[in-house]
Amino acid sequence: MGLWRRLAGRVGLAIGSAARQIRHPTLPLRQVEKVLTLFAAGFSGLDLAIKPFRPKPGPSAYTDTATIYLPETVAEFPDQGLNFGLYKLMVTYQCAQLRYGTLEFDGFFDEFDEPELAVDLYTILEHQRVEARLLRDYRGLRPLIQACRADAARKRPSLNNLSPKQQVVEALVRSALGTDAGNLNRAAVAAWERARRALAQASDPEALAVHTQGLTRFLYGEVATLPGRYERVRPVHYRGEIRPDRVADMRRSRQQTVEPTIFHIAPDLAEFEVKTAAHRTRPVDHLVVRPERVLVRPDRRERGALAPDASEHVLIADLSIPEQTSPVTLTEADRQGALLYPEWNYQLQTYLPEWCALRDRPLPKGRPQYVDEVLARYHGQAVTLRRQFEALRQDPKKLRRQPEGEEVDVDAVVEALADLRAGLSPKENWYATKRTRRRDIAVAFLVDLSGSTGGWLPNGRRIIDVEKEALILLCEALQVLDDRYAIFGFTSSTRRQCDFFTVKGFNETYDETVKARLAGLDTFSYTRMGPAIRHATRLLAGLDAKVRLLLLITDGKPNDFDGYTGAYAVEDTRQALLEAAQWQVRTFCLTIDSQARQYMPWMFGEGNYTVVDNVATLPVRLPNLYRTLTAT
Amino acid sequence: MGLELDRIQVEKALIEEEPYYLPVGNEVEVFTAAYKNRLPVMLKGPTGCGKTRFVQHMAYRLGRPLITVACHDDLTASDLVGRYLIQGGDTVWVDGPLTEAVKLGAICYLDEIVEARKDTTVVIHPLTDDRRILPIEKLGRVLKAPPEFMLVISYNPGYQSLLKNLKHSTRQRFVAIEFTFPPRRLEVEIVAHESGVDRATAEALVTLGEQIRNLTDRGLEEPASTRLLVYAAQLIKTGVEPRLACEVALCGPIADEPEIQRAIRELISTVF
Ligand SMILES: Nc1ncnc2c1ncn2[C@@H]1O[C@H](COP(=O)(O)OP(=O)(O)O)[C@@H](O)[C@H]1O
Ligand SMILES: [Mg+2]
Repeated sequence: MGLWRRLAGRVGLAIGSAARQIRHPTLPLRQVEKVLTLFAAGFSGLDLAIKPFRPKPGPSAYTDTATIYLPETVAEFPDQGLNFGLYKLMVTYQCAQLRYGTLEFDGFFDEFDEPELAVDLYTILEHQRVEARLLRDYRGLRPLIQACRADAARKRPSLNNLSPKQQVVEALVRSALGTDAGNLNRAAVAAWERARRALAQASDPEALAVHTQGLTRFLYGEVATLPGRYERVRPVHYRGEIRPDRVADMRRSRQQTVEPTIFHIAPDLAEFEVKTAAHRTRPVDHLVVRPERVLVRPDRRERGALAPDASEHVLIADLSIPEQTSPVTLTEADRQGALLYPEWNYQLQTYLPEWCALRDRPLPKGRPQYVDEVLARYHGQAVTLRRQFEALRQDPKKLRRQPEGEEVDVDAVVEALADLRAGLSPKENWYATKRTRRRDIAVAFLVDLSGSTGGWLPNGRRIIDVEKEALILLCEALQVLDDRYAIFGFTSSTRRQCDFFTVKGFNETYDETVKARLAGLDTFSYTRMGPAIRHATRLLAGLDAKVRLLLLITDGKPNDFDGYTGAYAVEDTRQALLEAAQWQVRTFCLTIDSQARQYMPWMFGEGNYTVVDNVATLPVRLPNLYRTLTAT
Repeated sequence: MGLELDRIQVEKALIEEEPYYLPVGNEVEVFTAAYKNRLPVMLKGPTGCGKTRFVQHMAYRLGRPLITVACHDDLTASDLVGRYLIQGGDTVWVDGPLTEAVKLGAICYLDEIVEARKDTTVVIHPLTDDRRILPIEKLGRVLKAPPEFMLVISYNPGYQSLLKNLKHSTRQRFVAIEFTFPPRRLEVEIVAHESGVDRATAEALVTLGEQIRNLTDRGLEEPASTRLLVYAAQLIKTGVEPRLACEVALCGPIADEPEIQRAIRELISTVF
């Protein structure tokens, strides 16, 4: 470790403890994470998560292009409004980097011997460009940027104990923040002059990231030749950092998970044009071929392959009928106590009779306090939902032209009189009634309890937990209506074992027993949707109601491990939904699978599904969805 | 007008001044062709994206009077067709707006048709196929629509209640023109034109509109419409402080959840 570093370290410590003595109020990220996530979505139009990290040595932010990382807490200002403003500005700059091409530097830093120096120079210059553009396009940000810039400038270390290399870079930061560069070492002065000019050039709102790359190359040449090893300067809190390694990691993992989408299908069905960001050959699963929609799913390997082309791929697919799913019939033991449902085999275009064994299973009871805890956590939302549901109920519109009622419908009588005089025999609907119109709805909520719902969310909870909370808020809100409803869960482990759980039957009330079952809901294994939909449909169809609705809540595609995957599973589920329509049961799906737009339109039909991107909002989204779907 | 007609909102007009409408795609051509071929038209799209304005514009272009009916859940077939009224001891038949439109050879625009009572479809259906007739049961007459008559309905396919969806048997009788919010360049022009604000303000409002629309799938059920952007612009033009104007026009009307509201406010204070 060099002398410079040791001195700088000690100085840094002194600054740190001095700052710590001024105790500013702390704003935890937890408190503002939701608002910031929504703000990021609105500002960028991208789907970005927000996660905490522990930046060193001071507050900072960065993004890997999928997630924005922010400090766990911010306590830079005496005013919490400004502390929030700092968070907001961090998010804005990270979003702006994504929007303005800052992170499009594929391999750019590989060309430097001291990549850290290059990254720092690029960061400073590029943020200057981003800031110029933000200042031009978002005048609302100006006061906030000024406040944060002044604060950041105040907290910069002095140049005194830095190496010449660091001095130039630190002076660049200071100057970018609009403060005096400070006294540079004689050795650094010439480089600094050039750096200052580069900074002025970078601050052009019309410039592009490639221009900054050019400037970085030039400046690197000037600074790298100064003596000493380069030690990184501290990031500017509100502008954050650029982390090429994290960006590259994310790019790689995206390429591995991308699902190809077919854009063109040749008339003879032999060739498909597939567009994907992947740069490699990948196995492609079977294809669902329909006149307008084609699904490709890389979960099975035998058929089809993508040519290793850059962006446009040609997919050669084998469309021969694959081997049937297990031909064995169900054994006596499989059938014991089970309801048998058929399954649709799309390759054979036929039903396989008595194919799935479905059983009603009891649910374990959960902790009795659970429901109350959830309600306490969502108190505000629960109250709002209840009020909104009450509005559905009260619907005080007068029903006119009724055969009976407590009021005479003057309009109708006048019309009848007129008709009489005109020699017509009038209709006898002369009354009006204030009775609230009966909604006459029966709805079954069918919840996917497959193992995947045990997946963890960024906020440290599981999908199933959020689903449970959503169901609880729904039940609470539904208490003000007299819609008949049931809640069912389902899971499967092959067609021999399709399990169906009744959390709340149509004739049960939302009482302690039901609450205990809600609390006890947990994840099981796979997702054979067909039999569960068929069973729920039968239960609904037996009810006398004007509208019967089956609302499926899921986190992904149907699948089971005995060949019930990809197109086969999608097609059987689709068939079960078509059957439901024949039983006069309407179907709708709420899914949290961000890929769902690829297969849902075909499976459920356009307009019959909704994707919840931000799972954390599910508890409010589910009741609201129900409210919209059944608005009168 | 009689007691009866007061309960339905009808607007009748021969439009004399050209209503400002900025075409977004080929909707003008499609509508004109439908008119020439006597096909009924369905305008699909979210509220506030220019459907009503478009019909007004087309009525002007085609030189036809426009009769607009705002449908509601109590609107019956006789509200559309007509009924007998008593006036000074006599019974008088009064045409409903649809009958009037047929007689005049007007364009009849049934706005938000899904809201109307189911029995209204009975009178609409025979007008939408090649018979183009309107049976008036109470008069025992059947009116044949002249070539100039045109039926136009609007339909918002966004989040719809399952309890009131447009039946397929009805939908399939119409030529559908899809409306979405205009692309940025055009929306800026519309907002500037409709309110008189300067270009920079219009640009900023459209930016904000786009950002708020990014939240549509995250708890906002209805996107911020062009109409609301125009409202905000008009408020600004009359001197309301921009942030306040945006808040009352672009936050209150579309968002209930406090977190969404807060996020919208943060977007507003970024742009203005
Ligand atoms: N293409 C357009 N040309 C001109 N004005 C438009 C256009 N699209 C939207 N508008 C503006 O938006 C407002 C709302 O449009 P409107 O026709 O009332 O919506 P809708 O009938 O679809 O609910 C109009 O008053 C007009 O100011
Ligand atoms: Mg699953």
